[in-house]
Parts: sequence; C-alpha cells; structure tokens
Amino acid sequence: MRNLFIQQRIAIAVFAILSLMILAGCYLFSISLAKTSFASGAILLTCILFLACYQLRKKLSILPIGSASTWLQFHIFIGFLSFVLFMLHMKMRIPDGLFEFILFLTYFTVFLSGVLGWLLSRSIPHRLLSRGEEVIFERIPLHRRKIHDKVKALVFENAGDGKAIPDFYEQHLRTFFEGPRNQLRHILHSERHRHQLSQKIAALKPFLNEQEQATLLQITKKIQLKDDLDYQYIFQAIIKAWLFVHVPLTYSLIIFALYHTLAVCAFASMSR
Amino acid sequence: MTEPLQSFDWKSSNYERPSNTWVCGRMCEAGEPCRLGPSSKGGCQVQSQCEPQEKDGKYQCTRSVINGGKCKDGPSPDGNCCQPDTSCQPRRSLLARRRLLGGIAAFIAASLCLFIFGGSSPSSLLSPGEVTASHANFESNCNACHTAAAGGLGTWIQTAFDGDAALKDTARCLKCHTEMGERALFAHGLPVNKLAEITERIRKETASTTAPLALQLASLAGHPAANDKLACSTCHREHHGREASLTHLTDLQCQACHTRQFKSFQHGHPALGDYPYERRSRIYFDHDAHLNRYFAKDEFKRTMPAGRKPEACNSCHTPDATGGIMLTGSFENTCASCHEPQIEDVEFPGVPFFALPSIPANALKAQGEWPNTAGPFKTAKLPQLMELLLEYDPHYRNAIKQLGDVDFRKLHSIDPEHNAAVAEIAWSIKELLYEIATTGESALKQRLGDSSPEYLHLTPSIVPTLTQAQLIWFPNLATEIKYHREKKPVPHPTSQKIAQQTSSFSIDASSGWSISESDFTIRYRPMGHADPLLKGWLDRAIQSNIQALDNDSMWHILSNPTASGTEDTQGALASGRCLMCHSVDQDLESGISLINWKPLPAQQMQKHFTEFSHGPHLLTGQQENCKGCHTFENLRTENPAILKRDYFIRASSNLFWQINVDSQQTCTSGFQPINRQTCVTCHNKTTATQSCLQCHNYHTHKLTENH
Amino acid sequence: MSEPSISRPRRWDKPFSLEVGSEEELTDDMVDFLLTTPPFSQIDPAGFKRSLPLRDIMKNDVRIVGFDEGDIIVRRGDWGNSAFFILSGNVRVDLERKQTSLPDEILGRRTNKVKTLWESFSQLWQNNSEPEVREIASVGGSKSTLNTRFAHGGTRIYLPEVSSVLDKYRTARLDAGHWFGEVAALGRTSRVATVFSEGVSQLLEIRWQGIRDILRHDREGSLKKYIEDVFRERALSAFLRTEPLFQDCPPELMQRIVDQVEFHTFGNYDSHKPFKELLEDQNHNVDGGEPVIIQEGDYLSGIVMIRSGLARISQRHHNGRRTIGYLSPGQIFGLDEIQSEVQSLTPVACRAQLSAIGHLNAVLVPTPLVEEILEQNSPAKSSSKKAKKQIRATGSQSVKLNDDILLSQLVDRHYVQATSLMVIDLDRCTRCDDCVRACATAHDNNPRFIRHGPILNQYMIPNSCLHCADPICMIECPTGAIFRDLAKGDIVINEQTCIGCAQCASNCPFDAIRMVDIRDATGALIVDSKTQTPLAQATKCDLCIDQRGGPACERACPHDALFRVDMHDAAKVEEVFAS
Repeated sequence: MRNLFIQQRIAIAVFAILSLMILAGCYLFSISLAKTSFASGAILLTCILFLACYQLRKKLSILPIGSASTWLQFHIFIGFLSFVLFMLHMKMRIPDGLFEFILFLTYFTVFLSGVLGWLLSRSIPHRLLSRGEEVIFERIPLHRRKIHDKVKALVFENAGDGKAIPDFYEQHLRTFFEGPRNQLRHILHSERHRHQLSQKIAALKPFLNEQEQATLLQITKKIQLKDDLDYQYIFQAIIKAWLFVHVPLTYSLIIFALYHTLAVCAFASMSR
Repeated sequence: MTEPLQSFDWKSSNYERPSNTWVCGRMCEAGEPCRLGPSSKGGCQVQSQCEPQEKDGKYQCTRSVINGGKCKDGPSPDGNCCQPDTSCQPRRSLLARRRLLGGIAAFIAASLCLFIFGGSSPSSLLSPGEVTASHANFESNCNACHTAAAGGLGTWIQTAFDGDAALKDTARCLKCHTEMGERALFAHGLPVNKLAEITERIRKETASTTAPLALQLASLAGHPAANDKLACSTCHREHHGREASLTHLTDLQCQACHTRQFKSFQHGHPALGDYPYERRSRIYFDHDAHLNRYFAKDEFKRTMPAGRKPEACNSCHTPDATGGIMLTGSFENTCASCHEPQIEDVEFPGVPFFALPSIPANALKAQGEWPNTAGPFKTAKLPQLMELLLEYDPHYRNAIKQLGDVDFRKLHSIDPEHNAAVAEIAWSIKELLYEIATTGESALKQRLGDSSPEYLHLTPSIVPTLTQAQLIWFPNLATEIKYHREKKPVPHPTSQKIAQQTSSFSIDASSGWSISESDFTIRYRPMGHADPLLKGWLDRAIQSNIQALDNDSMWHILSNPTASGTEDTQGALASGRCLMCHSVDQDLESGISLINWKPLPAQQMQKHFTEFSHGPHLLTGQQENCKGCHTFENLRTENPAILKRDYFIRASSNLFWQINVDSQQTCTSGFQPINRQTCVTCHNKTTATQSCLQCHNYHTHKLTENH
Repeated sequence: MSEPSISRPRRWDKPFSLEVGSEEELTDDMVDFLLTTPPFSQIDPAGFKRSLPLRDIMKNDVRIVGFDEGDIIVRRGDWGNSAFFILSGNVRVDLERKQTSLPDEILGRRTNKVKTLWESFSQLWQNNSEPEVREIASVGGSKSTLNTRFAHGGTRIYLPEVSSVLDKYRTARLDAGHWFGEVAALGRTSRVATVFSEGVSQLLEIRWQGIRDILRHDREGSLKKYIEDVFRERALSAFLRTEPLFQDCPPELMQRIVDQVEFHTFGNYDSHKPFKELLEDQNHNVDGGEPVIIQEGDYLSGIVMIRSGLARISQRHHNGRRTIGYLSPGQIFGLDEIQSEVQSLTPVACRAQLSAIGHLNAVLVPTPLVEEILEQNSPAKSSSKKAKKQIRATGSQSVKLNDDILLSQLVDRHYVQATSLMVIDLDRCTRCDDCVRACATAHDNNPRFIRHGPILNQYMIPNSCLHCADPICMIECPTGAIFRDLAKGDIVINEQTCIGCAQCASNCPFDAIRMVDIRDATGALIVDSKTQTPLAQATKCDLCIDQRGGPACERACPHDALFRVDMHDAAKVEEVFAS
C-alpha cells in the first residue's frame, strides 16, 4: 500500500513538471512566432490516440505488452495531461466555430466521463462489498427469478388456505420482486422503502396465525435478500454504465480530431 | 443466515462468457438460461426436441443430459418428440451493445464531417471563428483567402501536404494589399542583401548585450529565416473575432529575429543616435543665437514682427494637419521682419553682370574712346553673362586665343605686341553694346544661340540698363562702329561734351540693375527674398560641376558671409546672401546637387522604421516647453568659426568659403539629439507605453518606395 | 504418531489386475507364488490386521505386467500412483534431468509449445466465435507420429530402437529384484525419471494403497527399509541441501545426517475425500482428523522437514486451536526451539503444534545433529548478523499472517495447496470482467474460470484452478489426460486424450474444473455417433501455458485487484493478504 502512495506522489510531481514544461515550451515557441497551436495540437492528438490504445491493449490481453494496471495508470496520467494540452490548445476560451465547438464538446464529455469513471471505480467496489452477496451482474436476473420463485412458493403453497399473505403479496410484493426496484433510493443509500415495507408487514402480523407468521418471516428474509440484490444490481450497473459514454464517444472524438487536423493543415497555411 | 444465492458447484454453474456477442434471451427475460446458449450468429440453439431413435420397434428419446435428459413421457408412437419447441430470441451482451453504440457514434461523426463540414467546397460552418471587421465582408467566401477552399477533401489533403500552401494563401492576401510592394514577404520588406548588410553593421557595433532569459531560450526554438519569404499568417492571425487585432505582436516576438535583443525600451534599448537629426537641416538656423540673443535682448525687439518677440516655439513651429510633424513658418511670417532688410541691403552693390575692363590708353591708339583706362579691375575674368555674349564674336575668340589665359586685372602690365588683341577685345565689347543698343533682346537671343532659354529669364531684363550704359560710356558709339567697320581711324570726341552728357543721365535702381560709373560695372541687387533671377542663376550654377563653382564669381558673392563682394570687409553672418541660409545637398550616388530652397516635404518625413508624432506629445500640456525634449547643444555658436567648420569649407583656392555639399555631414539646428532617457520618463513600464510598435513600423514599403 | 482413521470408499471393488492396461487377472496361485518369493516371502503376514491381510492386499492391489523391448513403463513427470518391482528382465532408467532427457515426442506427451508473437496476436481473429470448439479429429485419439502398439492388454508407447537411445542418453540399468516408482507413488509426486524396458521384462505393479499398507504392517520393515535406503542414497542429501540451514554443511556431517535421518509418513493418503466433505459443512474444528506430528509443549527430538504434503502450525487458544501458520514442502519446523536450547542450554518446550494436513511425508533430523550444525555455523557467523538473519529466515520460513482467522480459513479450505491461487481483492475490483475476457481470448474464446467463489474478508477466491501441490484431480484420471507440465509445473488437461468422464471435476474440491460440451467449428455440438449424447470435456485454467507472458487474467486486471499466489511463497502470500 505504502509504495502505492509514493507512486501517486511521484506521478503528481511528474505531471506538474510535464505540464509546466509544455506551457513553457509553448510560450517560448510563440515568441519565435512558431505556430504553437500546431505543436500543442499534434501532441494532443498523439495523446488522444495513445489513450484510445488502451482499448486496444484490452483486446490484445494475450500479448506481453505491459500489465493492464500499468496501462491504466498511464491512461489516467495522459488523460489529465491531455486536458492541460487541450486547455492550452483552446487558449482557455470556448471556440467560436461550430465544428470546433462540437469537437470541444466531444472531448469534454469523454474527459469528464473518464474522470467520473475513475472516481466511481475507486468508490463503488467498497459499496458493493459492504452489502449483499457478490454476484455476477449478468446472472442477477437469474437470482432474482430464483428468489421470486421461492417467494411465490412460500406465498401460494406454505401459506395454507389463508388469503392474507397472497393478497399482501399481490398488493405490495409482486412488483417489488419482479424486477430491479428502488434504484434511486439505493444510489442515495436511502432505506425508506424497506422501512415502509417492514411497517406494512408489522401491520399485517396481528391478522396471521402461527404458520402464516412463520411464512411471513421467511418472506421478509427474501425481501432483504432481494433488496440487497437490487443494491448490487444498481451499483454494478452504474460502474458499467459510464463506459457506455466514454468509449463510444471516443470513436467520434478520434474521427473529429483527425478531420480537424486535416482541415487545419489545409487551411491554416502551416508550411511556415 | 439465509442460504447463498449462487452455488459454485461445477454442475450448476458453468462458465460466464461476457465476451460473447449474444446472451440467451430466456436469461434476460426470465433468468432461466439454457445450457447451450445462443450461437455466435445470435440464433437460439436450444434443441429441446430430439430425434427419437427407433429401437426394436419402439421410439426412444435421445435427448442428452445437457438438453434436460430423457423426457418422462418419451416420444409419441409415431416417433415425434413430445417436447414443445422452446427456443428464445437471444439478446446482445453488454459488450456487444457498447460495441454497437461505438459503431453508431463513429458513423454519426464521420457523416457529420463528410456532409456538413466537408462536401465539395467547405461551408462557412467550418470557420473557426469570425474574421476581423475589415475582412468581414468576404468572410463567407473561404476561397478568397484559402487556396484549399478551391475544392473538396481531395484538395485539402493535397494542400495539407503542399509545402508552399502558406505562400499561396499569402499571395491571396497580397491581391488586395498591393501597397505592400513586390518585396512584401521579405523581412521588413527590405531586399535580402540590404537586410543582411544592416544586420552585419548592427552585429559589428553591438556590444554583447544581455538578452532577456525568455529570448535566449526562445532562440533555441529558432526563428523565421530572415532571408526567405514570410507568410502573412506568420504574424497576422485571423478568425479571432471581429474586434481582434491582427497586427499585435509582443516586444519579445519582435525581437526574436533581431540581432540585438534587450529587455524593454526602458532597459537596454539602444541609444537613439542623432535622431531626429539624421541629416543636416535644410536651412541653417541657429536656434541658440536666436532664442538666447535676438529673442532675448530687447535691442532686437523693434525689428520683430509687429515689434513683438515670439513668445514660444509654436509662434514659428506649428503642427501639420495630422499633428505628426512640426512645420516651420514661412519666411515672410517668421524671418522676414529681420532678414528681408538684410537681403535688400543697400550696402550690397550687387552681383556684377557686365563690366568694362580697364585697358591702358596706349593699347587703344586711335581706336575710339574707352572710358575705363585707369581704375583697377577687381576680377580676373569678365562676368559670366558678358563672357557668354562675347563668345559669339569670332574676333573676341581669336583675341583671347592670342592672349592665352588672360587675367583682366593685369591688362596694364601686358607686353605691347598684344595690344592689337586687347584692342580687339575692346572693339568686340563695343560691338556687343552697339548691337544690344540697336536690336535689344533679339541681340541676346542671337548671341546666346541654342543655350539662350536658360539665360533669358533675366527678369527684370538687363537690356535697358545696357543701352543706358552705352549712352553714358560710349555716347557716339554708332559713329565709332561705323568708322571701325570701314577700317577708318576714329576721330576724338570733345571732352566737355562728355561731361554734360553724363550729368544729363539718371540711374534707375528700382529694377535691381545698377550702373556703377566708378568701376564701369553693371550689377544686379536682389529685389527681395527668393529673387527669381538670382535663384535661377544659382540653380544653373549648381547644375554645372561643383569644382567650377570656385571660378564662379556670383556663387562666391552669394555664399559669402561678407557684405560686399570681396573678402576684406567682414559683415554679419546671416546677411541677406541666399546660400548663407539655404544649404546645398548633394546626392552622393547621382552626384546631383540641389539647393534646399524649401523645407522637406511633409510626406517624406513619415513611414520610416521609426515613426514619431508630435501631436500626442503636445497634448500632454507641454506646448510651452518643447525644450523638455529639444535641449540646446551646450556649445555656444556665437563664434562664426565654429559654424564655418560645420557649414562651410575652404575652397581649394583657399580664397573663398565654399558650401559643404556633403548632405550627410551635420549642420544641426543647435539642438542636441533626443535622449532616450527623456522618452523613458514617460514611456516606461508604469505607463505601459513602451512596446516596440509604439514607435516602430515593421512594413517599410512606403519608405523603400520613396527612395 | 496417531492411527489415522481410514475411510475406504469402493476399495477393492475392482482388483488392480482387472483395470485398464492389465494383461490377465491375478490368480490365487500366482499370489501364492509371489508370496513365496522375495521380497514378499520376507514379510510376516501375522503383522497384518485381520481385516486387511497381506494376501488380499496382494490379490487386489498387485498385478503383473510384461513389457517388450523399448516399452515405456513410466514417463518422467507422469502422475504415479503405483510402484514397480522387477520380476524378470531388466529396465533402463533415463538419468538425464535436463533437456537432454528423452524428448517428449518420443514419450508421446503433448508438448505445450508457447505461441509465437504472431500466433498470439492472430488469436484476435482466429479464435472461434463459437464456444468450446474442438478439432473432431483430435478428439478421436491422438494420431501423432508416436510409436504405439497394442500388447499385454493395453496400448503401449515404445521406443523404436533402444540401442540408439542407449548410446544417445545416459541411462542406468535396473535388474530383477529392484523396486522403482515407489517414491512417486508414496510421495504423491510426479515420476522423476523415464523408465523403459530393456529387452522383454516382467514387472510387478502394486497400487500405492497396497504398498502403503504393506509398509505399515510389515514387522521387519525390510521393504520399508529398502525403500528408505533407496531414497537416502538417491535423493536425501540433495533434498536437505535445499534448506539454507544445511546448505554449507560439510560432507562428512551431511553423511551422518543422511544416515540418521528418520522418515515419517502421516495422515490419510486419500484425505481429499474427507476434506471435500469438510468443505461442505462450515462449522468444524481445526484438528478434526488431522494427525498431530508434534504436540504443543513437547520436547523436540529433532527438526521436521516436509518432503511432501502440508502441515498446519497451530496454538492453543482458549478452548480451541488457532492456526498461526503452515508448512509446505522443503520447509522446516522446530529450529527456533533448538536454537534457543543451544543458547539457553536448557530444554525448551515446543511453542506450537504441528499437524499434517491430508497426507504428509516428512524427515526428522535428530536434535544433536542440528545442534552440531548450529555449532558449525555460529562461531563463524556469530560475528556477522547476516548469518543470524539467515538462520532466523530459515526458522521463520513457514507462512504466517497477521490475520489468523483468514489464515486458518485458507488452511481449512486447503487453499494452501495452491501453487497459483487466484485471488481477487474486491476492494479494488470493479467487476469489469476484463480478466474473464482476457482468459477467453487466450483460450480460443473460452473462459477457463468463473469470477465467482467463496469470499474471505475482501478476498474472493474465484473458481479457477489452484494448481495444487498435491493435485487430487489427477489421481483418478483414467487416461492421464490431466497431467503436470514438466517445464512449468502447471496442471493441464490434454484435450486429445480427455474422454470427459468428469472424474477430475468431481474430485476437485474447489470446483475449478468445468465440463463443457464440445462443438465443431460450426458451433454444432459434437455428439457421440452411437448414443447421440454430446461429448463433454474437462476444462480448467492452464495458467495460459501456451501464451507468452504468463496468465492473461493477472496482466489484464487494470486495477491491480487480481493476483495469482503461490501459497508456498511466504513473501508473496504476505504481500497479497497483508492489508
């Protein structure tokens, strides 16, 4: 763990130095009337391409080209560096041209989603571990179904001839067990829905006989189980979701960037 | 403790395949995956129905364990499987969906680029920003500035890899900006060799200065090559909004290419040299003497215009329309009141145009009368006009030939065998006078022949004076000429007759012409400032080669600080002689000399590397103290000798003062060059008005065209 | 030494002589004949329990096999569970250990050649899109250039011309009356050498169960002695020298040690069976059925060095035992105590209890000799701390963890068997499944593990092969399709020979082996032409043995959450689990 911290410190230091060097270099070249936008742009483009290569690395997992974790470290590092470059390239102001503006938006969405994902991947694992059984995301429907079946079994077979539990089930439980529920509440770590449910159950108790109460008890356990499953579901979903912004937009970003490069090379009379 | 959701048992949980494209539909819907899973094409592979096998007459279910094992109630007697077909519609896996999304995003981006921003010709949507107001009217037409805009993507790629694209674009700039001249693209619009030479000079004279750190580092980054073409876009960056300045450059940027680099105008900027006195002033004007003596002391007060002394500089110097330069007041308004009288100096006899040499009487035995037999003759030669007129006469010519180089001051000491020739000269002079008396102007025309025009602007004309002189000096010239032409001896007239005749003539000086009986000379005295006649004659004189000026008596007189035509009497310096004030410039290349009759035309004074405008400086309430910047040279120039050093040089003959024609050599107006420190008092860090562009121009096309 | 409780599932249901590869059933009179000939004639039957008489052992655990010129009897690296006794003829032992030994091609073993850069790269598009695709040809028996012939009731691999092999490779000759293969059989290690028949030979093959029982009940212990002597002379000193303590031990002393070392075997040979049940029920106490080697508080008769198997170090804690560490092969126990004895000159009681996990072979080096070595080392070393540290290091070689609950769980669940345990730190894992994908890419689009499994603290132990030091899965593989790769020591399945009997899968206590239905390139299930049932095959993690750069899963984890841990590498274990 300790060496991790040290690594981070070093990384931050290197980052600071690099960005300073870039800024200084840009300033100096601007003095000698060189077109610094081309320099910064070129570096930025290479950065973006490198960042995109991370996806490639994932595909090429079988090749001995550095461990993915190292790659990720660089990915994050270069990512932030690219932001500095981008700011420099934009000269700190939002571009006026329509195309440039789109390019600007695309980059920013990709960058921000990246940062977001970075934070999520740091924070969510703890939450996932903190509650519920660790399950494979793809199999959550399966587990949900199992629970639901068990509950149905409890409701309609064990409950004897009493109608209380089945009615209660129809009223409050069916929808709850059918699919993922209370997602927003889980994100906000709110227990409200469970309190409400348990209150209802408490309210139901007096009208039940021994056997039914026993059943109800088991059902409450299932409710707990299902709720935890929902919790797992929503957070695993979140930690997968951000990639659906980050990755696809990267493709558009690259295309825009290349097009922009071409246009600039053609129009900005760059030979001198 | 509830039992765990999942079992890790190898029988109940098989590999999860997140990298596959398809997921079993039943898994997604009901969470009941089949063990087979979908095919890679996304089809369901469930074979809940088996092909029952016939075994000794009975069909048997052959469904494998994986597909659920043999069904309880096996196949129907006719050999069909009893199971319903329970295939599903597989769904895309997370990964596959992401891939799909990526594809869509890429597609959208590509089509955007191709159809909206690309196309056959670039739409203004591609424009990275508004252009400056001055270019706004053709903003929509990319093609106006960009060669790449001629065609579609193809052209772009071509241009992108074209090394000269910048110059091609620049050519389009120059289509409109023709004023830049043909050397527009070279550094400062100077010819390469000239730039090199300037650079060389600076490099020589520059002590190693300490350039700012930024510049030293920037030098590592290199700078645009000095001697090849620079695209306009190097400095002028467009598409930064309507209000953006196209010409802005920081001091560091200016200096990047320069040999001598320094921190700022305040610190390290080279001294201004003798700015603004790069050349001698057009007229010699001793500000020191004027301000400190004439304008100071009351004794001169009466002569001042309206008897008032000029209170401030601006009573003589007023800014021009632009306020850029300070004009000098006209002679009439500023100088005349004191100097007009000096020009119309009554003491000044005038410039001799016609003189009778004194010839000893014995040389003219029986040659008719000759008034000037005794008095001394002051010049070695006859006045120029007179010579020109005599040249026409063949007798005169061969007489001169006989005499060789004749000095008219020494005719008395001439040996007798030349008397005949001298007589000839006398006669040709008489002939000249006679002709003029008889035929007037036409005689001059005839004699001057082809070169007449340039002499004939003798206004007022000399003719009446000449005829009058003939009547005085040779009252009966007609008869003498008659006798002489008939080769008869000329009879002596009676002396008293002469006396009465002379008294009966009055001399009219109003025309500027005068006859002096004392030395038998006809002189011209300038009628006032800018006398056209003299001006004409001087301009003519200066046209001929400078050396000849030595022998030009008129030149001597008018450039002579003395009042009279000769050395001996010492007069006021700024006497009314033309060349005492008006300096002479010689263009060293062409060798043509000019007399600076007029002040430097205003437009020539602008558009140098350095530009200065008095206007703003005067606004700062400093009207009264121009002295703040223009300080006197501490040497007091009362002593003429000092002026002469600057202004005159001795003629080779060492007899006369002669104008110094080297226009580069300074004759200042008595002020010190402007001191950088003076400027720095205002132009410094705090006022932030010390950028290079404050005073300096990059483009020097105007300058280079004017010269 | 405590008498282990042996549970014998299905023992002797089928005599050895009736199993695959036997020529003819071992008849009673043959047994009688054998019992009259040495070495069995020297064994006193009276020593055997009534329930387990020598005769039955012979009858059921022994068979006679004949070999022809060049027949390969055991292959180096094979998983041996039987020993051989040469009745007639003689055999050759290939003594070469390095590459110069008989090439795998000749031995007919599938060679896992590492993919070239291009090959591994081309997996991107060459991998089958369908899951679990196999070459149909390869399924129906290997058709390699291997020389096989059917003889003596089984298919044999043989060396074409023995003579050339003999002058090409260094071999040793063993003739009638010698044992071989017993070390592998008892020590549960792979065969260390290839043995082939020179000329026609007749061998007596005896199952490890049989030889074990004989050894245990043979009063004279002649056989035992013989085997031990063989081990002493062949391997012991080399084995001891692996331990730093003995490294610079003078030959003379080493010789005496070799002579005096005692051999001990603990635990239930087929302990994997009970411990699989153990895993099922969560609440069991630690030393349930674990034979104790050294009691806490005893005075040591010497230091124990593990030859094979694992040992648990535990301490009394209130009314139970708390695991504080474990020993794996090559590690020693009791050195600290003896050292303190040497220093304090008073006998020191053992501070912890050592008990065998499953089956364990150990050697015991008597105290006096150890003290002698310490003497040897100390005068020279006392000055230099380095040496002291070295000895400490040897003493503290057993794996220890601050979190003893975690440790005891690891031991109880036998994860300590692992030479490459997959551990996922759930505090860092983002469940991105990159590991699974990487695994799939490396295995023709088929993952070889499932990212689910028991969770200890924040560590998930997914269902991926541990590559156990003592791989139970191999024991009952009928075709030897599952074997330990010689070069890397990984346990891999040979697809050519796997018949999908699911024996390994059910044996594996960690659910690390999964049976899959194999398909052809079109994705259609490959079915048995007769029964129409789909063919299945066992699949498991092979540590990307044919990939460059080792396990793809570990390298593919972007968050440093997934590790492969060799549980016998103390440093690595502490690095991973200490947090």
